[in-house]
Parts: sequence; structure tokens; C-alpha cells
Amino acid sequence: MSCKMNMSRRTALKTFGVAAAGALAAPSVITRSLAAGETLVVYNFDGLLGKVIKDHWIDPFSQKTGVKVEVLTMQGSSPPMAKIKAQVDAGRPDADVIPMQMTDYVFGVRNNLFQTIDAKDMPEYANLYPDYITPYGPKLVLWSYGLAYNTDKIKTAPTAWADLWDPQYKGKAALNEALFDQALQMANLVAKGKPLPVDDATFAALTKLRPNLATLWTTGAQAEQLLRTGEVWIMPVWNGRVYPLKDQGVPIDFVSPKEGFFTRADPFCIPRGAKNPELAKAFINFSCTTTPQQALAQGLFYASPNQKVVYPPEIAKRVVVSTREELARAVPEDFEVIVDNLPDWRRRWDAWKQS
Amino acid sequence: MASDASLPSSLADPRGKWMSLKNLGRQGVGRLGWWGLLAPAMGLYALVFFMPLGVLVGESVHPSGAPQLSLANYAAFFTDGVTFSIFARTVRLAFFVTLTCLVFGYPLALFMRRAGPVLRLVALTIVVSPLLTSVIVRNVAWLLVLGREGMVNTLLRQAGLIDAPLPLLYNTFGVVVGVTHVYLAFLVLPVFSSLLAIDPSVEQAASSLGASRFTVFRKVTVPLSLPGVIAGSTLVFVLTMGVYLTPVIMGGSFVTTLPMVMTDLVRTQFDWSRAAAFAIVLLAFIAIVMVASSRAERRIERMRGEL
Repeated sequence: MSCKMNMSRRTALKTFGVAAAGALAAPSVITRSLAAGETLVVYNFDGLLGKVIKDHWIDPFSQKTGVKVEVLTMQGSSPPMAKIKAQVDAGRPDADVIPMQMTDYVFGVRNNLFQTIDAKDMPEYANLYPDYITPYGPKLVLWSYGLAYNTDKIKTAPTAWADLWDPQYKGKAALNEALFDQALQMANLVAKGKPLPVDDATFAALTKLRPNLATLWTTGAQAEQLLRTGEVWIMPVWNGRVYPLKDQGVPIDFVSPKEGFFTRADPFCIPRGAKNPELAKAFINFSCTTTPQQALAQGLFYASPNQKVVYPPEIAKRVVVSTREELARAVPEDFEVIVDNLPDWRRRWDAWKQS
Repeated sequence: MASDASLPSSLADPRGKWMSLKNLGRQGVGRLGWWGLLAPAMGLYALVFFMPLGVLVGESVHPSGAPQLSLANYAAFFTDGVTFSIFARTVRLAFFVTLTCLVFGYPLALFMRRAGPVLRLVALTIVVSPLLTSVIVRNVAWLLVLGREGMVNTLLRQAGLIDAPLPLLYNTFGVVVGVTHVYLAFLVLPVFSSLLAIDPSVEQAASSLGASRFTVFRKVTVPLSLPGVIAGSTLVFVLTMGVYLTPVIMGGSFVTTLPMVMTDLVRTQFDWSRAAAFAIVLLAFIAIVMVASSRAERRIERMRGEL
């Protein structure tokens, strides 16, 4: 069925002699003449990730199609959900494409904030790992959460999350406050070998870690500052924050701990009532293709769900999850459970911080 | 000069004009115009403050998932086992900051009163300058000063005064330093202006009657500057109750304030209704502090009147 549609559009394109747009696959093909002058509004990350996505996803899409892309920059990687919900409820979302963190995504699905994206509109879906396709968009930007450590101060590389508890790192470790749910699961991996459930044993493990913790941080920029100044020697952080620093000469490295690392990805969604759903689909489909995905892996070492992406050996090591097998080794996370328990975990976490 | 004759008598005669305006005032039209001056500000406040406040109150009594009105969110503030103690710690933090501002700010204001115009301007510029800097830049600069490998610890270690670095950051001390730095201005300015308002002849009278300099300070200067002290302290206290970024950056999130709890409710738990209720409680507390402070000020004014 979709194949037939493909064909007819292709023929049509040829018939009208608009072959220039051939690089974009058929159903979501927005030809220059069709789309030129239209405006697509996309939420983007801030910092380096935002820059790579602007340079390698947004600008090439814009050049290819003639679509003007307006970028709204998020704070870090969290979209302003309160605003988005209010806008969708009023029928006037200000953006056409929004990358969602998994917890935001679950909230969005529960509140009916997104449009479904039909696979037949997305030719590139054929090349993605099926479990990275949600009904509301593909999960892109696969970042991996492991241990960063200072290679000047720590001569033997850590191998496990448990190394965070080593007494020699008294006052030299840190945790991510913004992703405290991951800190809880990490403590569980060490204490009982599985990520859930969060209970008294979880917090008992964290209390034992407390003397080592210099601070908690909330943004990647803060993490970077702590690593750069040597204030913190060892901490859980995502790979894309570590390797660019290493390349700048900061003495740090990244390991994926043996108890299991975490991999998260952000579904790219279209809010219900978006002004340009067709352009949005075309943009998301283009973003899934190998060239933009490869650029992200090369620039910031975030992996892709696209099986056609081939990583050079040194990049493959840095993206952590370059193959299906490596992906399978990541700790599975149940975001429904996480979102349901977040308020309770947060209260216990806040109480723990004060104890 | 012939045209004068054509003018109404009330305008031609200045006294007549005065009388007619006075009459207008008596009739109430003038007073209405007077109150009318408030209209633009009131309109703006209604739009950007009272209306959203109403929405907030409405939201706070509709807990997510509950169909009818409920005070559950307000109950949670006191009974969820964490929020009230975080609130108490926020009050404690605000108290520390206010005290620190007083200790540093009052002498500074005294100095500024005595200083010549140039020194006064320099001091004023230094006190106000943190308000002109971005909060992030200010905080990150402090990280470099107070960090484990920061300036203070390095200097102390090189001087041989300490062996291990002092914990100056990522605790209440760090937050007090960061917040005091910027809110000092809110204390110094009111205290300074109330000190300026003291008639020097009152102090001279006291010392000519044999009071020592310290007695003059204790019995004349301090009591007369109290309105400024109260106003400044209240401002600093209230502002600190709402502080968010400095505890996040300089407190390393180990110092949790109520605004941080509310931000998390909105951003990661999506419980806007509970965040609204907590905001109303905080607002009510601040209102009580303000009323108490203005009462104290009025009381002092009255006491002075009796003198």
C-alpha cells in the first residue's frame, strides 16, 4: 500500500519535472516549490547539542526544502511542559516539533498532547530499531549514562558504580540532582543488583555515599565546571558531556560501569494542533536519516537508532551503544513506573538530603 | 489689554480661579480625578498580579485527579513530612542572611553617612554593583573564590593556616555568602537614608549633656535609625524566602529552599495544583511578615512622637 503511494508520488514528481527534491524520500517529500516560504517551528536543546542539531539537522533540512525553520531554545533538555500543555489545550501550540525527555513524554501521552505519527508517512522508519519508534515519534539522541573520572587524580580507572563509594573519594564525588531518579536506580544496582524498587535500602546506600558527595548538580554546564576545575574527581554523567572536554585537554575519561549503564533517548513529537504537521513529519523523517545521525555521533558521540549508521572505530567506542548487542546491555528503565513514583521518590530524596 | 475684558471673571481674577477649583474639589469631581491617577497602576496590577493570583488560588484547591474542591494540597504542606521542614529551613536561611546583612550593612551605612560625597558614591556603587550583574555570573565567580581549589582555600593553605580545605561551598555557609552579597544593598540603602534623616543637632545635644560617644550611638543614633533597619531587614528576609538559583549553584542543592520544591513540582512532577498551594502559603507567610514589620515601624514612630 505504502509502496504504491511511493510510486505514484515518484511518478508525479518526475512528471512535473521536480526532481531536485529526490534526496528526501517520497511520502514526506516536501518539494521546494511546495514548501518554500513556509515556516516550521522546532524546539531545540541549548549548548553544544543544540548547535550540532542546528548545523546538521535543521539547516540542511531548511536548505533542501526552502522551509524557514524557527528555533525555540529549551532550558537544558527539558521542554516547558506547563506552557506546552496550556497551548495544546487551547489548540495553539507554538511549535511543530518538540524533543521530549522520557518522563515528559509519558506525561504528554497521558495528557493527550501529541499527534500520532503514521509509519507510512515516515519512510526512514524502515531503518530504525523498531523499539525506538513510538506511536508519537522516533526516539533519537541516544545518550549513555556512565562514570566520568579525573585521569590525573585517579590512576586506576573505575570499573563499577560501586567505586563511587570508595572512601578515598571522600568529598570528591557528585550526583545529578535533576536526574535523581537515575541516582536512585544506580544506588539500587550497587545495593541489590537491580534498578527497582526504590525503598529504605536505596536510601541507606545513598547515606553511605553521602560523605563522598561534594555537591549535587542540576545542569550539564555545572557538571562540566566541576570536572574542569577538578572540584569533583568522579561522578555519573552522560558521555556527550565528557568526550568534548577530553578533546579540549581536560584530564578526564568515561567508563560504562559493569553493573550496567543507562541509555536514554528523546522522542521527537508533534504537538496536537500543530500548524504544520506535514512539514514536521518531513523534518523528523529527515532527522532520522543517516547523514544527520552520523553528524551527531561524530560531533557529540550520541548514538543513533538508525541501523544504517556506521561508526568509525574510535567513535563507536565513544557512543557506547553503537550496536544492537551493546544497546541490549543497557539497564532497562520502566518510565511508566518512574513517572508514577516520581512524587514519592522526590519527597524521600528531599528528606534524605536534609538528614 | 482689551482682551482681558472678554475673559471669564474667574480666570481674570487669580483669586476667583483659586476659589472655583476649590469648589470643584468640594463637589468631589477633583477628588475623583485624584483617585483616577491610580487607575493605570491598578489596571496593570489587576491584570498581571490579582488575576493570576486568583487563577493560582483556584488551581490550588483543585488537586489533580480530584473532581471537587479540596484543601488536600494545603494539608500536604504541613503533613507530607518534608515540605514543612524545608519551609522551616528556608526561614532559618532567611534569618541568617538578614543577620549577616545587618552585621555588614549597618556599619557600612554609618560609614557612608560620615563619608564625603566621593567616598559615599564609591561605597554606594560597590554595594549596588552585584544587582547589575547576572545571577549566574555572580554565582560562578563565587565558586572560583570559595571552591575546594578556590582562591580562599589556596591562600590559607599557602599561608600554612589550614591543612585540609575548608568546606566553604555547597552548604548553608556558601548560600549565605552568595545571597548576602547581592541583598546587602537592600539593607544598606534604607538604613543609610534613615541615618541621613537624623538631625545631627540631636546627637550634638546628647553629647553636650555629657553622653559618651557610645551612649549617643546607643541611645540616639540606633533608635532613630530603627525604621530603616526594620524596612531593610524585612526586604532582605522576604527576598531570601524566594531565593532559588543561589542555593542550587552555591548550595549544591543540598540546601533546599521552598522555591526549589515548587520548581520541581512544576517541572518534573507536573503537579501545578500543589505548587500553586505551596506558593499561596509562602505568599501568606510573607504577607504576615510585612504586616508585622509595618506595625513595628508605626509603633516606633508613635513612640518617637511621645518623646
